[in-house]
Amino acid sequence: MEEKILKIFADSTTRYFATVSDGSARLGTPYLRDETENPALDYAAVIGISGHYRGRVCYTATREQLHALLPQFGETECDESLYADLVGEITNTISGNARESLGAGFMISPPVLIPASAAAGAIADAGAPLPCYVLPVTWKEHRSRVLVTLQPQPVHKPAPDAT
Amino acid sequence: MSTKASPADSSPAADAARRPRRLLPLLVYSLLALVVAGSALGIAHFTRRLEEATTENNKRINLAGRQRALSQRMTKALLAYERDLRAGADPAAALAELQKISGLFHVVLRGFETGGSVPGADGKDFDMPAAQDPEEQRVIREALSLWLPLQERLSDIVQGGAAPEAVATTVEAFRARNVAIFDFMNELTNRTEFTARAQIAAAANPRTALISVAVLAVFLIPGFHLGDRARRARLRAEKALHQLESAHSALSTQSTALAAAKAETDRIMDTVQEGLLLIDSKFIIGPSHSRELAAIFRQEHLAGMNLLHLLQRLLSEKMFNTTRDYFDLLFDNEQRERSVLKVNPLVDIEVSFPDPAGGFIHRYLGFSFRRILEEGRVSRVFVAVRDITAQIELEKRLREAERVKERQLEILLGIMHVDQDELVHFAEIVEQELDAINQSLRAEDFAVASPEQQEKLRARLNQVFRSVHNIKGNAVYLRLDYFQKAAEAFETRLSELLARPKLGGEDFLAIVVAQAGLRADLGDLIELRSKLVGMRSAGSSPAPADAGAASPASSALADGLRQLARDIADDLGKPAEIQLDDYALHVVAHGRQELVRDTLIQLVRNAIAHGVEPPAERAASGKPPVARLDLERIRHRALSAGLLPADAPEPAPAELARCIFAPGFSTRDQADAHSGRGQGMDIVKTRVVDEAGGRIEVRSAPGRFCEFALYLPEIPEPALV
Repeated sequence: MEEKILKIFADSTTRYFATVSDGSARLGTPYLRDETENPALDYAAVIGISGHYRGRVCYTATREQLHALLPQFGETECDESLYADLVGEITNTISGNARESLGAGFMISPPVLIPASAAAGAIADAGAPLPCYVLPVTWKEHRSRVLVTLQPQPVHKPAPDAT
Repeated sequence: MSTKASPADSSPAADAARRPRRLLPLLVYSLLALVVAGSALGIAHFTRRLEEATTENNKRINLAGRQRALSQRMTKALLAYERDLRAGADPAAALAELQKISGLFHVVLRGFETGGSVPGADGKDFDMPAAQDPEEQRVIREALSLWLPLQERLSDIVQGGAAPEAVATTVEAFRARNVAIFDFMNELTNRTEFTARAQIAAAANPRTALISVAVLAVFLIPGFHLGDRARRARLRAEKALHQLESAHSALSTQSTALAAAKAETDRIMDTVQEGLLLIDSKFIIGPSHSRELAAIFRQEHLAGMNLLHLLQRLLSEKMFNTTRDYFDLLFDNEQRERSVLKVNPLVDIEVSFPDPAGGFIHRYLGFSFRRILEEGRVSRVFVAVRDITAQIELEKRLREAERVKERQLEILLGIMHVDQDELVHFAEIVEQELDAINQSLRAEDFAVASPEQQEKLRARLNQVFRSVHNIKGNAVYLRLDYFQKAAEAFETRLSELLARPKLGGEDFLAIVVAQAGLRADLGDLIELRSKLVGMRSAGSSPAPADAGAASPASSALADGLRQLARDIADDLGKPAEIQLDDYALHVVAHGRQELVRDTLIQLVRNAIAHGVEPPAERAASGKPPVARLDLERIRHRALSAGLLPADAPEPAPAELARCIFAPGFSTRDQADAHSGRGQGMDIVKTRVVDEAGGRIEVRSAPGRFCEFALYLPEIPEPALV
């Protein structure tokens, strides 16, 4: 996968936090998930990608981060469903922002909330032996991760442009 | 065979049959015209005759009436003459009156009898016709029979020779016949009037009849015209009715044929596996299209929709704009169809349909177009669209398979010459180094920006660099060009990052991508090696091990180092060979073999890359004939890299020697495949000193040699439990 695709997801993530909160997020050093690792935190949502790329994008965060983030949306009484909704919303926004950069050929499905314990499997199902990139994100000392497993599809050369 | 022509029949026989009907009105019109003309002439003739008869009879009546008066005046004049005679008066006036009146009476009466010119009542002569009426003739004859004797007696008196007795006798005769003559003249007058009325009637009746005929004819013409028109209208109506029946019959036949043709077309349109449709100049889809079109566009009721608008929801903005321009071209009569079809941008396009289950459905559609001309202008365009997703996907899979195959073939050709054990060992090294890289990167707290974290990041990056460099060294050692190039590209990215004054997490994205690439290459290597082993084991059996010789690993390393030296020397144009004295890898403790191997590889590469050229080559290159170890250059680089304080006294050679083990330190301005990264000696130092706890001794004599001695501590025996 090209570096620019990962950068688009990293930028989408940091832009999200810069937009919705009063603090910026920073990207840690990305790495490859090994087969034995489950990088999921307390909550996770996954989005299917199709089009010019096929794979999955997962966002996972700690309960503490989501708890700290919900007041930004006016939610003061937090519960499990709000945490789950927020993690799905963040995932959707990150992928939506990425779609703006990657164009119409980058298709995303609605986010699906998954148990943290199943996140590794959900990502692995994207298609072995695809590498799973882990993008650590820190926001106000809270950690979350964007997991990206994408495979560029062979490019079909369209017909010559008429113009 | 019937020759009767129907109204709709246009055969020559029908024309011949219809000709008399066409002539009849003409004949009737002509006849009526003749009747009218003849009647007019007749009317004029009888009118003239009537006028003549009237004039003539009026004159005769007047004359007859005057005769009646003349008879009395004549008697009166005779009586006046007798009185004058008896009174002795002059009778001339009375005689003249008598003479005039009796002459006039006689002439006129004879005129009635025999015809001839008589003095008219108006003083003009009148050509009196002889009486034709028998009764009139009888009255005249009887009147003459009375008149003529009287007229003889009057002749004597008029001539003046009559005696008074004769006059008296004449008077008596007049008195005796005067009434009778008056009655005859009166009867003549009446009869003349009767005859006149008869003659006038005789002239008036034909004229009246002719007038009636003319009037009738005049009225008959429009009547016949109207009748003819009504007849023609009826014929036309009958003809139209017949034509309508014929047309209806033909229409029924055509409808049946059309229904059959439509049923056939519908079957085709329902069966064909393409979307077939027509669009007009507004790009509106026609009422008929194939069933497959709805399946292709995943939408029903497409008839009447705008195809361009339909595509707008499926295409990218750029492709939509191109398509819109192309649609305009399709209907541009100034553009030749062949040229327009050549630039069809929709030969194969990717479209995305919303998936009701979420996400999108991607399809590839292929469009083709053909113009439909009417009166030389493009009226509509025939469009055929196919779902070519399966074909495109197959092409893509084939291309991807081809790419993978080419890549694997390149790797396969690169590993065929390598000993299988060496390959296994290389794979292990690469895996270990990749794991080490990943372990170095898995430090999320680097996201916190601080000088301390920056140093940690840079140290981690150097660790990654050492791992990549070691992979590259081993690749060069085994002449695995594919991996060597991949590692070099990796190193280039690492060098770029190390040159940056500040590092962030996003800077490592390139690293992790390159790492994933190397891991994928490693996977291919392992897979291909397995296949290669299978092929080789099927063709030959392994050679028995020689217990008295050096271990295979030791021998292979020795051979590999010799080959490495030859390759680097060839690449750099420096004739060199390696001398291995009493080298036996198997005597090295098992846990150190990898360390020794990696270290020897780096030392050999550095020795040849940084070694001294032969005098002849140095002379040919314009270098001083006497080579020397450039301590000043090392010092300069060490100062630039901050390895020595700027104000430090002149460093001893030993201090400078330590600088060459610093990560990234090199006396080369430009890196190449064998040197210039400043990593080789760093690896040696890290492995021997930092990881194994050993030491390195460097001895050199300027202009003569540089010797590296590595000392490794023994590995403690594991404690027995």
